This record gives sequence, structure tokens and C-alpha cells, in this order.
Amino acid sequence: MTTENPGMQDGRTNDAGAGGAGARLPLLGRAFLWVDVKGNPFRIVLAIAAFCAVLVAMNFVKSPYGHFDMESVPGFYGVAGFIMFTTIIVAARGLRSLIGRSEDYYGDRAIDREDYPEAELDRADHDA
Amino acid sequence: MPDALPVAFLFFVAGGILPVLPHRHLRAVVLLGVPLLAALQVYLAAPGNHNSLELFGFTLELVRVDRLSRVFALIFCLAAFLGNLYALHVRDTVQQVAALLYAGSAIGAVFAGDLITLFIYWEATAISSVFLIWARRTTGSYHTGMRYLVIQIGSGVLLLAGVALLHIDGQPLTFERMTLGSLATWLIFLAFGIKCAFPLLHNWLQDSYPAATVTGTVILSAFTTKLAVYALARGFAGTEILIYIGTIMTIFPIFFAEIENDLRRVLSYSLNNQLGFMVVGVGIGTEMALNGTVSHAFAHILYKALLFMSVGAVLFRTGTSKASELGGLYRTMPLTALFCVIGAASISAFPLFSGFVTKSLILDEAASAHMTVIWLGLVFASAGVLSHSGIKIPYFTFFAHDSGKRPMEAPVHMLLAMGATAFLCIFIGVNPGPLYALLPYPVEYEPYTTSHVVGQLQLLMFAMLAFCILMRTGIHPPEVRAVNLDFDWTYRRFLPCAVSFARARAKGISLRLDRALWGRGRSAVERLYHVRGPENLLGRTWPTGTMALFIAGVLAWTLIVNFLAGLWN
Repeated sequence: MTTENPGMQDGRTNDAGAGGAGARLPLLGRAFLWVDVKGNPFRIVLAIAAFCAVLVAMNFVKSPYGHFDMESVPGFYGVAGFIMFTTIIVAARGLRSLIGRSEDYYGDRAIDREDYPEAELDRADHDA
Repeated sequence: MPDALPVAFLFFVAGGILPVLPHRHLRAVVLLGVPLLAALQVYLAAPGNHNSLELFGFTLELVRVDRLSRVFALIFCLAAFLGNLYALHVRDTVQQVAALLYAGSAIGAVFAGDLITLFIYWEATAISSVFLIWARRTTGSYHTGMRYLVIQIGSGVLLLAGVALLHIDGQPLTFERMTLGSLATWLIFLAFGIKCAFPLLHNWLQDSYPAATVTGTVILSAFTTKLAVYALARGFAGTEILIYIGTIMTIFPIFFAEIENDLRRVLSYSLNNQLGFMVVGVGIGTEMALNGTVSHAFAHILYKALLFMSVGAVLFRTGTSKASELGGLYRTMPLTALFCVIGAASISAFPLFSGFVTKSLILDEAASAHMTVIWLGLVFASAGVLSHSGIKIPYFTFFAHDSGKRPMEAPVHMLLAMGATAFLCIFIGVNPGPLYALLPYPVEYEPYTTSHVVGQLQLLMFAMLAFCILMRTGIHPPEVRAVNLDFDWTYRRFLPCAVSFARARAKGISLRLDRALWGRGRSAVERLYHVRGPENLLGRTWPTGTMALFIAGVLAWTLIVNFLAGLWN
């Protein structure tokens, strides 16, 4: 959904171009390329916002109920979700400045700075 | 059938013969066939105690089958099958045997009818599972494995101490519901709490799971912590303190997961958060809450394994599981991406996915008991689950910025394992009836009401909207290469530093004390040395002739004294 994709040209990614590398991608991978087409990330955001509006409207069509009075307020869960999610992200950002350290912090006694052993891997490029 | 051979022994026998099987296809048959055979045996087992054993005056109940143990054993068999399928490419005998012994030990533990049997299997899970970490064969994984082993064995020692105290108090050692109060029950509770990753006892989980092999982490994720949840459900259902412990467990890992760069560690924090929901259910302790705990453990094992599998497949193909190094992999690993999204939707509890029909049992019980703060905490944690597991894992791995990596799709056996697990996640979500039928108590709950579906979708979609806005405004923290301090800092950095500091200080004090005492007592010591030193008057070895002369002198002196005394009288 980012707009900072260096591969984007003329509304399509390099991969997506007809006859380009995209032609060699798996079928499902080519279908997913839609999300990186210029303008589509914003359309996705708009679709999510529209769906949110529909969900709140549904609360007015059929009154929500629950074990607490607050659950009966239309859009309660939506507002709660938005505020809670934002709180988590902002708090986590603050937490990182307090407890973040370099990958070397625990030295050789941790796996943080070591590479995963190649013998356990099977690296292979899609084009190979 | 269970009277013939305990289910766990199937795995042990398989673990014994596997190393001598020469061909990998034969090994594959054993690795996949044994969990399926065990699942059939569990499914057909009649309720009651089987395979009793007399040992040192104790009666060990090796297999106690009831609805609670049966459902945990079934999901453990299923997890072993899926994990072994995912690991089918592994040629390392150590990992293959460890996976079988580990699964067998966990299944043995859930069938344990007494605390001694539980202890034996409890320790067996610790010892067998550490090889899945050491199998990475690096310095870091060796030290991580040692930390893991110390904590896991420590949990077993506490359990044994509690069992011994119970026996001294004359209490029966059957594994049934206990009441917190005595030292014995507190020790057992603490032992369960360590394995369940209670707050401040949790760091072994986030430390060790990312250090295991690609396939080892998938297998590790299924057993140890869920065994602890089972033990709590069996031994401490309705213990109020668990409600508060569980709620804290659901909340605090969210923040750490959000800023963690290693995606397998993000999933470990996420696992910790999910355990919290189960612990709350155990704490509430009603039949429906326990149903919620058991069903959530069942669903959780599947979707958590699926998420670990998808991130593991990425690690297998790219050599890294760090979010800062990944992105855009959907192009060439679309099936893995799709399975990851299904796992993410399941853990986030989207309608039609497994988490929706299991987690809501617990939340509904908290709400119906009007535990307002607890319920709000669980709703908050649900939004948090979406942030780190629902969005962060799939988005930063497969979408987000293009890392330029174009790895090949995961191998066929990994795709089969992920596909089967994803199918089960959706099947349970769409049709929860068969899972509900397996639960310990009758289920009278309908998850798909309009209010519930709309409310849950509101929570998740508005949270996703918030994510979009935070990403576009740059408020969402970027993924950077770093580690974050957690409580394990106390025993990995602070305590070693404190001990070194204390040792240095003690050495200095000792030197000063030595000098002070030496100065004051120097002359006395020198005098003593002068007389009693090794080469001095009383210390040295005298020749026999000299000693005879000395004795003769003493005798002569005695005679003279006696003679003079006689004259005087």
C-alpha cells in the first residue's frame, strides 16, 4: 500500500509490465500486483473507510446489544478500535526510544546479530 | 487399545527406531504415520484410567482419558503431524527424533493422572525440546538453549518440590483441581506459570523460539505453553488471580511485538498475548469459560503454527526473518503470502476464521460476569493482536516496500502443511460445531449473531483504518534493526554485572581487611611464628636422640625436685 515503491513506473510496477519480469511471476503473484498499481493503495484506504461507514450505519438499522450499556452505542466498537489501535502504536513508538538497543547488545550469547546457518536453508531465486 | 500401549509410547518407540531407518521415505512414513495413528488411538480411547503402574509405593496413572485430556491430546497429535509434514525436507536425525519425543512427552503429560507422572513428562518436554534450539548449531543458539533449559528444568524442580510437600502433608497425588493456599500448591502454580509464560516469567519464550531452527520453532510453538494451559485448566480452574495475570499477559506483549524487528520474535510475543486470553478463561473457571480456553488453545495451535510456518518459509528461502530486510515477497511467494494472511485473519478473529468462534467464548464470559475492566482489557488486547499479528506480519513480510528479493515459492511439502493448516483455520471459523462437540462441556453459544459480527468487524476495520492513516502520516514506527530490552535484561545483563561488581568489591574489602589485620597482629603472628614456625623451636622435627636426651633431662629435673621436697619436709 506504500507509494514509495521504486519499481513503479507509469502506474505499474516493473514486475507488472507486459512482457517484463512480471510475466514470469506466478499467476497469483501477478494478481496481487494490483495492490502496487499507482492509486490503488489509496483506493484500498477509501474502501476500508467506506466499509467502516457501512458497519456504523448497520448499528442504526439494527440496534447493537451486549452485556454492557456502552455496547449499545452505535459505532462503539469502531471508535474503540480506532482509539485503541492508535494508542498502541503511539505508546510503542515511545517505548522503542526507551528500550531499543543495537543488535550487538547481548553479544555472542544471543542470535540477534548472527546469520542463520546456510546449511539449514534452501535459498533459491524465483528466476533461477 | 490404550491399555496395550500409552499413546506417548508410540512416539517414544518411533523416536527409537527412526535413527536406524536408512531411507528418508521410510522416515517420512514414521514421522507422518505415528501422529495419525496416535490421533486415532486418542479418538477411540474410552474414558477412564488406563495403564496404571506401581513404583516405589506410588501408583502412577499413565493414561487418564477424559474430555479435557482428549481434546488437548488430539490437537497435539494434529500439530505433530502438521509440524512433521512442514519439516519433511529436514535430514537432521536429531531434529526428527527430538520432535517425536517432544510431542510424545507433551501428550503423555496431558494424559497424566497423577502429579508424579506429570512431573516426569514435564521434564521430558524440556529436555527433548531444547535440541530443536541447539540444532541450529550456532554459538547464540547454544547459549539460548542453555538459558531455556535452566528455566524449563527449574519449572520442573518447583513442580517436584510442590509434589513432595503435598506428599509430606499426606495429600493424594492425583492430578485434580487444587486450591491455592499451601506452599505446595503455590510451588506447583509457579511451575505451571513459568511454562505458561506469566508476566516476568515469560522471557524464555521470546528468547528461545526465534533461536530454534526453521522447523523447530513451528513444533515448539504448539506444545510447551499449551501443556501449561492444560495444567492450569486441570489444576487451578476458577482461581481468581489468573484473571488478572491473564489480562496483563494479553496486554503487555502487544507493545513489545509492535516494535520488534525479528518476525519470529513478534510471533512469540503474540503467542504470549494469546496465552493471556486462555489464562483469563481458566481464571473465570465456568464451564463456558473453560470451553473458551480449550477451544482457543485448539484454534491457536493451528493459526500460530501457520504464521510460524509462513515466516519460516520466508526465512528458509531468504535467510532472514527480520522485517527491516523483507517486503514485497508476495510477487514470488504468493501462496505463502495467502496462507500467512489466513493465519493473520484467524488470530485477529475476523468472522469466518477460527479465532472469531473461540476467543469470543472467553470475552462473552467475562462480559456476562460484568468484569468491566477485564473485558475492556481483552478488547484492547484484541485490537493489539490485529496490530502485530494481523497486519504487521503479513504486511511487512509480503507487501510494504519492495525489498527487491525475489525468492522462490516455498517447497511443496511446506505449502501442503500450510494449506492444510489454513484449511482447518477456515473450517473451524465457518463451521465451529465439530470443535465445539470436542470441548469438555456442552456448548450453548452462537458466535454468528449480527451484533457480534458487526461489532467485531467494526473493531477490526476501524483499527485497520487507523493503521492506514498512521502509515501515511509516518507516525507508525518503521522497522529497524535493533533489539529491545525486556525483563530478561535482569538476568542476562544486570545480574551478571551485579555479581561481577560485587565480586570486585568483595575482593577489595578482603584485601583491605587482610592488610589491617596483618598490620595490627603482625608482631603477635611473628612471635608465634618464631616459636611454632616450621623451622623453629616447637615446630621443627627433632632427632630421636635429642628427644631421648630431653626426656632424660625432664626425668632428672623431676628427681631433683622430689629430692629437695623430701629434704624440706
